[in-house]
Amino acid sequence: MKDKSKLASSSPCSALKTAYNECFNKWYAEKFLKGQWEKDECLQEWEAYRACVLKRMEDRKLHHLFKMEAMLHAKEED
Amino acid sequence: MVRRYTQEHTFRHPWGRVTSACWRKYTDPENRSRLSHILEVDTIDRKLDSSHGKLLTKRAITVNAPGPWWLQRIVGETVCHCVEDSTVDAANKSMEIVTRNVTLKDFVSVEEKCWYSPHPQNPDWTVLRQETSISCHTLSALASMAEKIEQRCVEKFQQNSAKGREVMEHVCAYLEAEANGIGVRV
Repeated sequence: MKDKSKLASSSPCSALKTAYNECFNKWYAEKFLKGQWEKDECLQEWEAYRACVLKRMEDRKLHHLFKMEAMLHAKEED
Repeated sequence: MVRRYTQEHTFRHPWGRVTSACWRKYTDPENRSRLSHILEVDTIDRKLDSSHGKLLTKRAITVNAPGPWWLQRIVGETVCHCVEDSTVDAANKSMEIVTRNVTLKDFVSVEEKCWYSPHPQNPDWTVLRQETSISCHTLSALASMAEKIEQRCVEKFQQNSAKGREVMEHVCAYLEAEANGIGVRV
């Protein structure tokens, strides 16, 4: 239960995540689904959020796990 | 032993709205209490294939570890990390989502595949097809226990995916209300 409260309340990326998700949801519904997919419009929000998330995953030593998983499945699909 | 099962569900909403709901299901704050087994969801990679209208996304999902409390005690983890890979093909109206666990793999492997496509008879509806496979890896001496745990896992996953579909219906309903200019979220 300790993990749960830690994860839910103090995620340092949550403000950046919300900003990015709001931008993405709007772009997805109003542009991407309507065939206007030549440009992703949330790059600034994405860069800020992604940097935060990757840093956090590295801190929690999770980064290598996801990389390994990606490599394994890339091999399977070859 | 691997347990597999498939499920199908029809949403009485168009494909665009249903796939929009997929992105909001875990992230809109009003759904969090209903999906309390989902602790955190982060987008870790996203690629837009702008020539074909395809969107490829990788998300990291943290869930409460499956299984009873005493198993979590043995395993020493209360959470499980999963990765979700999805492809949305807007031109062909298809969305495919594959989710796998990346931690606790010594104990259990879960793979869930979901496909969303327009209903063949009614283009204003959407069909979800879901295939799940679960297997527990335990010492053979514990095989009968492993089987019970697998069964519990399957039951838990089925309960959670039913909850997931309820939340999807809820998100679709408020997206529909928004589209109709009624800006109220219920």
